[in-house]
Amino acid sequence: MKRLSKYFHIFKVSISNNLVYVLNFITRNLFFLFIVYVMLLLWSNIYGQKGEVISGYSLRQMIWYLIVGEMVVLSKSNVFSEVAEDVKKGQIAYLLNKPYNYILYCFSNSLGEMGTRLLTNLFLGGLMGLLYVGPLQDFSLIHLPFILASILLGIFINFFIFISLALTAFWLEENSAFMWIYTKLVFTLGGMLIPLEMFPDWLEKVARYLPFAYVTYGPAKLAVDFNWGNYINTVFLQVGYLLIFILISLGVFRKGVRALNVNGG
Amino acid sequence: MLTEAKKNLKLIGMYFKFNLAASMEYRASFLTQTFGMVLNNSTFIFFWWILFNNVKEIGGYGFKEVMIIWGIASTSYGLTFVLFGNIRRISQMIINGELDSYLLQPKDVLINIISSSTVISAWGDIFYGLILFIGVYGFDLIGLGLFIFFCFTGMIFFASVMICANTLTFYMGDSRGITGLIFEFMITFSIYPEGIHNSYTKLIIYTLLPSAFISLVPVRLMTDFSWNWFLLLMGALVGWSVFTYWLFMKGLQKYESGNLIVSKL
Amino acid sequence: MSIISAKNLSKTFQVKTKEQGLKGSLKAMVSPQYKEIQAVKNISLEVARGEVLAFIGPNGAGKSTTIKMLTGILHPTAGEINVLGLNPTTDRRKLSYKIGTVFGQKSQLWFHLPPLDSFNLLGRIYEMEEEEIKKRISYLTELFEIEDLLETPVRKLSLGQRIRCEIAASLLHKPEIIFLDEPTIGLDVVVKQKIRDLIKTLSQESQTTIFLTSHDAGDIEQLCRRAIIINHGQIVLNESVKNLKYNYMNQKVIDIKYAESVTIDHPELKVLKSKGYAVKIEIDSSKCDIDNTISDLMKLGKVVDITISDPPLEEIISGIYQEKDIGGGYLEKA
Repeated sequence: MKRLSKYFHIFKVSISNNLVYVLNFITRNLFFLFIVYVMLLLWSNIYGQKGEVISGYSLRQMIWYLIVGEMVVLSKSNVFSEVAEDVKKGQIAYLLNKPYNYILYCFSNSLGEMGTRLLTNLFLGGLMGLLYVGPLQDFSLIHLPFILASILLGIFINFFIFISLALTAFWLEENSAFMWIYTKLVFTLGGMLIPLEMFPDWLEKVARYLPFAYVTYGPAKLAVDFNWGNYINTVFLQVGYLLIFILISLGVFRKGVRALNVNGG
Repeated sequence: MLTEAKKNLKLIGMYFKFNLAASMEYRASFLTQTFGMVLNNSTFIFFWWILFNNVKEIGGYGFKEVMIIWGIASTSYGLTFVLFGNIRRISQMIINGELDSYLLQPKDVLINIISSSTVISAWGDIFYGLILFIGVYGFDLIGLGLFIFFCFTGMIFFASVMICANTLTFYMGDSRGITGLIFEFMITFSIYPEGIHNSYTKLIIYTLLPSAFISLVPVRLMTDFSWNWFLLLMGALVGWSVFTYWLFMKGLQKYESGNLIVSKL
Repeated sequence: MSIISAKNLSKTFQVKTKEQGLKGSLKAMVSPQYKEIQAVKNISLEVARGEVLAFIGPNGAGKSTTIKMLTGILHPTAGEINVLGLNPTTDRRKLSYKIGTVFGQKSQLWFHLPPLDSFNLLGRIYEMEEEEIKKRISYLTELFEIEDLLETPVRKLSLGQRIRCEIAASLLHKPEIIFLDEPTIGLDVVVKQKIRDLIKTLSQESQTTIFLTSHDAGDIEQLCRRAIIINHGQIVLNESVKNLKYNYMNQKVIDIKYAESVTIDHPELKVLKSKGYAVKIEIDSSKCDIDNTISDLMKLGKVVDITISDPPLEEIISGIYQEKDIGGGYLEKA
């Protein structure tokens, strides 16, 4: 119990740390409002020409889909730059001899950040959806906790992919290119900008098996078109990918520390 | 006035050569960052390609027009940060009191500050825009000339707005949040078709945050030239540059050289 | 003839205040509270050509603020300044050709580049001819012994090496006055001494006027002929270093560690602290010869370690205050 409570404490401190940066917080939310509004402008125009339904989505569903996708991506923590800094500046050497697992430390540290962001994003996203396009027709509140679980899984997969990429700083002087590229893969193949159903068939098939789709597409699709078959399928793959990336991050970290010992800090 | 302008151009040229030589010292980093940025930007081709697979026209633009505004916006943005890389740091510099050494040198403070560093990855934006433009427009000297001209006017608009946003720090304290938001706004609205706008957003992109002048007006001029639009563009250009310079110089009088401390009671 | 003159100079800053915690942050956003801080209050001073002046005071006394006003970085709230016949506030650019500045805590060199590149660039910023830049760089390189550092990126230099390059950079355009703000801050004793020697050479060789701030009493003693002490934004004392030394800086502190137990019984010495074999002694250098005293102390027993230091500036200043209050002091104390 004691072992867990220290992670909980880190989580608590990080929450209050985050609340202090109120202004920062407000601008981040304004960005969310802004970007969804741009999507609304764009898709209203497209639906205006193309008709009621595109690839199975109504305009209303499309906007909600995009909101949920953004929600997941915007609820990320700063873990990439923080970890990459720690490693590059040699700060990591001081963190190694502390009595905790570095990856878990980062995770609990980020939980506060991700949690506060998700809460406000949920609120704002919900509000925007209702204001911009109105409630979804067959949405049932009973599904909400299940959808939330899938959103959280998406955020966690995103976290562990970020930290795995950040840890490459053990070997590379400059590794932010990985972050850009990964982020863009989520934008595209992950379906954040555009649902997988609009892809050409072959590409859709490929994208459905890649991890990126389970960060954003998975939860977003469930939010606008919930059915249990799809839910179990999605969550199963999400949990699978989450485990894989937890293992990868732990493995990369262990290898990195070994490399550090060999080469010196 | 004219000799002053010439002096400033000389200063910009001097810093450009100096920074370029410095970037070339780390050739590998230069190449990976440039190439990484090209790759990064390319993901948006994917987005528009999928969209235009589903619809013929969005807001009056076809695939080609969208790629041209992308090209102009990307190169304008790249030029801004290759030549005036320090723009993104002005706010921070004001807060940390880093303007001192510029104030002690016998050059125009604003030009001296903004030109004294560069952003290497911005070269990627320049190349990407250029390649994209030639790719969709074909190689044609007049077209290319116009493209380059509009990239420079776009650069001045973009730089002006970003300097103004950073300069707000003199007046209200840390403005990095707002600056980030304005940055996203300027970029986003320069890469979406004009036709998606409603009358409110249209008003904004022609006045308060003039992203329309970066790419949308140039595309209009390139497809159907009109003196009225051209003069409007040039008028707005002069207006924004003069206003920016004035705002900065006025703010500079409030500069406190690192004594801006928030003390706890 | 004075080349720097300031009359009734004042500078007030508005500082945002914030209560603790989230509630405080929110409150500060809605209605920010300001409080005024007077960093410099009604300071007047004159500096003659060729003079080496120390401008000293503890941290936060207003030294940097004054320098920044004299160089045109900050605009004074009230008062008049004249530097080389120019008003720094309005003629900042003109003035910049004639003055050089080094801020110990702020660098004018490009962090990722070797100093040589920075020198070349700075030379061009000051609109010097290519040939002249070359000549000047080679002259300064020799004077400051920085040949080996020229090609190393600044980020890889030690603080002492960096400061040497900073000072060289500030002299590139042959300024008539050089302002040094805390040039020895954070340096160890040996490097500090090296920088002091440099500044000495500089004033002797080129007759450059030097305006130096420091909170290190050692800097002043060795470098300057006149010192102005400021505290809480006001001038406390303005007199020759000779007088200052005789009247206020005559106290030295000697820390001695013996290998055995000793008893010190010396009429001129004041034992401040004695713990085990270690003794802390204060001595008045205006009355007794340090050389003799130390050899006396050495004779008492086997010495493991010995250091001689100046009392911190804060103590000197409080000494000055005391004497001013009592009125005429140091004789009484003696």
